[in-house]
Amino acid sequence: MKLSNEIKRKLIQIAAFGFSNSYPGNLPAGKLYTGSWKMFCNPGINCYSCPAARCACPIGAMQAVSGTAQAGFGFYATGIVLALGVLFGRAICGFLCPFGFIQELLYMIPTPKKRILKPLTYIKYILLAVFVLLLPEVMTNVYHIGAPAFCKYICPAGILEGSIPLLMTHPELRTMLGMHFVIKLIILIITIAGSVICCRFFCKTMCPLGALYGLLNKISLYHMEIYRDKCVSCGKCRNVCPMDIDPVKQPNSAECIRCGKCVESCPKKALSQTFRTIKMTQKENRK
Amino acid sequence: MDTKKRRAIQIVLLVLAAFMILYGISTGETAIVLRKAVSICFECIGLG
Repeated sequence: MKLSNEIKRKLIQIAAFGFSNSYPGNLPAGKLYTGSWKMFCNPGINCYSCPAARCACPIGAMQAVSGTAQAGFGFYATGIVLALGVLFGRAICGFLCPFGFIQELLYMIPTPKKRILKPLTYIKYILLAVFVLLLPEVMTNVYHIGAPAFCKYICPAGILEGSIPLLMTHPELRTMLGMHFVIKLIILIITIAGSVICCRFFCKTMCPLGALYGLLNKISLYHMEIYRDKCVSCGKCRNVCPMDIDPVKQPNSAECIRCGKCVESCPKKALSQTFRTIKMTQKENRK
Repeated sequence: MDTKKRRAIQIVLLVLAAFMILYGISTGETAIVLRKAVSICFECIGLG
């Protein structure tokens, strides 16, 4: 039985979600995994305060280091994100990110669907620059320790994956509920509602990790190639794109998560997602 | 973008990434990440 590329992608997403949260037994007990895997960064967004989480969130890890009194910049976590971005670009978002997978499941709920306004996609770059890079360095306490500003003020994954399971198993934590929790809960509700109506709402508008990987989409090894002599400008690729891109006009757009729906939809096989270049493929065909 | 130019940028960035990872490991950043990740981050879950 031949599986479609979309089913294969879903299977990879399920496997990645499972690997990222491979300690579900910790959920009823409300305890975190404390083993050495936690020093490694997950490729996608996955709160490390989730009891089931195996690895560290890369955005959290960046802020954790830059917020300490001694260290100035999270070289380790940033280096991992840079390497993954150069190799795969935003294919990480399309295949490996647990929070992206959750959003795609929410989008399956049958409701009227809407497209996001293009200017809103630039918000994630502001969140990256201000909340991930700047604030942990400048907004410090008397001990020169900075808060993980994106995780603290914005990230809905922390509430969904961390807060809700922990509050259910630790009643004593409920005494700490306050305005901070309410604001983050509102952001989570907006994210969930947005993801039901608009595909990958958080990825498009808020994700700083997607912003970083997206900046590397233009030069990543895994990229989109267009055979322009085959393209008949039918627009099918544009119509199926969940990230609202025209793959023919912007083949390596910073918004492209390399889901491959455009490649599958093209009746002329004019699109390809590959590590190879067109020249390499043509050279091989000539041999 | 020209293939050669793109390849050169990829190599430079990958080498830079490798240096950053190794530098981070050598300065003990992995210990900071581990220490942060194995404890409940009250700020992250909206309780701090």
